[in-house]
Amino acid sequence: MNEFTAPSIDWSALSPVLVSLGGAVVVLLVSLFLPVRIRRGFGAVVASVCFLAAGAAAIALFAADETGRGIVADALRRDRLAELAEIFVMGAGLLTVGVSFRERGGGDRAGEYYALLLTAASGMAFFVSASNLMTLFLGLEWFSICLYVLTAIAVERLSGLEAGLKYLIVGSFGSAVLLFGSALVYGATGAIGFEQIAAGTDDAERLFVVAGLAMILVGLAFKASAAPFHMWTPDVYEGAPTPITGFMSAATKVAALVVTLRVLVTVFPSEAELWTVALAVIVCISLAWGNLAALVQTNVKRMLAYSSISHAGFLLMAIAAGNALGGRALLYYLIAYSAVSVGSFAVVAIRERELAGPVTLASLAGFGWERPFLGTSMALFMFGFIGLPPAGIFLGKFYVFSAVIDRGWTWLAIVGVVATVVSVYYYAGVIRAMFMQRRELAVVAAGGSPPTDRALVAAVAVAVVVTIGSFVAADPLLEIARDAVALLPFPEG
Amino acid sequence: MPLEAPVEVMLAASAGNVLVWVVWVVAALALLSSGIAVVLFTNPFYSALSLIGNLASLAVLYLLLSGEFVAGAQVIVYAGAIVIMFVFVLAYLGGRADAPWAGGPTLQAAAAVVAAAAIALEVIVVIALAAGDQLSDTAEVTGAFGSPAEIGDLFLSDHLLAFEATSIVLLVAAVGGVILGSAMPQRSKAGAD
Repeated sequence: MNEFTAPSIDWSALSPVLVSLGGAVVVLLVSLFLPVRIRRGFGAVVASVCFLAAGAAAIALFAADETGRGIVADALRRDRLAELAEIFVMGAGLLTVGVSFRERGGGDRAGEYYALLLTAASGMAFFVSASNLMTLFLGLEWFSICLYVLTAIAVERLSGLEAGLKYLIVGSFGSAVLLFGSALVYGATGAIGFEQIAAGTDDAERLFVVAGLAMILVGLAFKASAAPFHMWTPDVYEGAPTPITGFMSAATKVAALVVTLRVLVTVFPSEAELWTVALAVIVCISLAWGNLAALVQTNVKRMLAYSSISHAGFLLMAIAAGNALGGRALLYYLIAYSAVSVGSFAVVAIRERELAGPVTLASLAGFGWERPFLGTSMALFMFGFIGLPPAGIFLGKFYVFSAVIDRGWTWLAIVGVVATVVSVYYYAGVIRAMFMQRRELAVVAAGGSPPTDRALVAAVAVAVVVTIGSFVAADPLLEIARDAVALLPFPEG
Repeated sequence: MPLEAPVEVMLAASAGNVLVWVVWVVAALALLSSGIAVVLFTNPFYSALSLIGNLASLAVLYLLLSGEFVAGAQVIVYAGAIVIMFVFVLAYLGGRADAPWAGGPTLQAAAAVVAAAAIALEVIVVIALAAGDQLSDTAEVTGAFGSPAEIGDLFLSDHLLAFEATSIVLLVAAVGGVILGSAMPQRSKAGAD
């Protein structure tokens, strides 16, 4: 029997994961002993504090880490890419707490709601720093299970349960594909660590490596809701509680795309020719499918779900470029995209509460005049989604297109421009409905409109600030993005 | 085995081999027959019981492959926990289940047959390749391979974080199961809050 040596555990490097997870445990346990009426407030306060603390920890680690290092027997990798993604996830979580505060439904399960939100964020923080196939899969399951439950948490709504079940089944299929791919890669190379796999692919059976790569890519594309692996997205986005939809569209995308970037660039540098082309195909399908399907939607949440599929296309385009400019563009784009996404779903959430029913384009009529701040913000978010200034996505798209042109794929940039032009129609439809359509038959909720929700308005205000701020302060943010991807070995230099 | 080994040792070894073969054949037959029984019984309770037999005989095969830990885990986790859960669910739902092929061949049944045939083909190909020495690498199994000590060592060293993360994943799944499972009937009885 050999001598046992325990791995050294770098607690500070794990702090973003541990703080949010610890908060979840506190909320879960303490709210059991609290009266029902203060559970929601307690959960929201603890969740906000934990998201702030975890975000601050990630910022501190980002500032301190220049070289990146493996922690706990190299199971996770601490580097600026992971820390930046954690900052995004915690930020999205914080905004989601504000958006959720007055959400009805879910009854007395507010404690579990915030606990699962914190656990999901903590799982994403774990997932983005995964550095072997086992932690990769566990991180994926960790946050996915939280999201399956959160989708269905308002069990009194059948649509929520249906969405949760669909997400569970399709999501598990995606995870299973990723797991099968990981098994093939492990079988071919005999290693599970990302760097060891990259070192071992040269003398491995290429068939298995390529099949494994394809299946891992499919599994991650499921999570990023890129077409043709997006079929769950519209139903789940529509059925989930709207704050959770906002969180999924922002944080899940951040996690899935950052991990896609890391896995493809660090694990499969030898197959770069293959995965860049494969991604380009996925990009084209996502852009075409997302945009065309969004054109015909009347339900705003469904429309935004298809828009999220098309944005997965733009974001994957940055990875398909396979160069450092693309990596930078991806992270910069994600800042603006997350803010716009959470913000727009927040506005949908408040309209949904006013109507006590689903929000359609017709039921948005006159919203811009009724609630000028939220209406103007929604208009800004729609401009943002299109990629018009003063929203950061404008520059994000610009950098994504430059990255693929740098790689010599001008045609892909043209596809992106065409998709953007098509998208103007449905985003502008929202603005038109809010400001230029008169309300025909107004449905007024019994008891009048709910009181102004300060927490939600504050969350929307922060989203507006980030959306415009990412445009105004593009240079420092691009510097940060450059630092974050500085250590990745991009195939195109 | 060295050639100059004493006759008694060789006899003992071959007797051991015979014993291994006997155990292997019995376990394999039990595995196959209990597997078929799982599918063929019309009463789901009998199916669940056959599944326990199936998992137990699989555990014996693991033991023959020196996978003591896997064999133990197989019995404790699958036979002990999961199948018991099946039985609880069956007791809760009542013993209603359709016999296989009850409604004539369906698409699902046809797909199951095709999938089973594909797996059988795969197994036959692998065995044929192994018999013809065509598999590229043989596994190197050391003495401590698969022992509980070795596995425990790995859990607490190289895969410490994965081990701990698994417990969180299970916890989250349990919390989710309680939330989704407990709230519903109560709510429908009490009506809107």
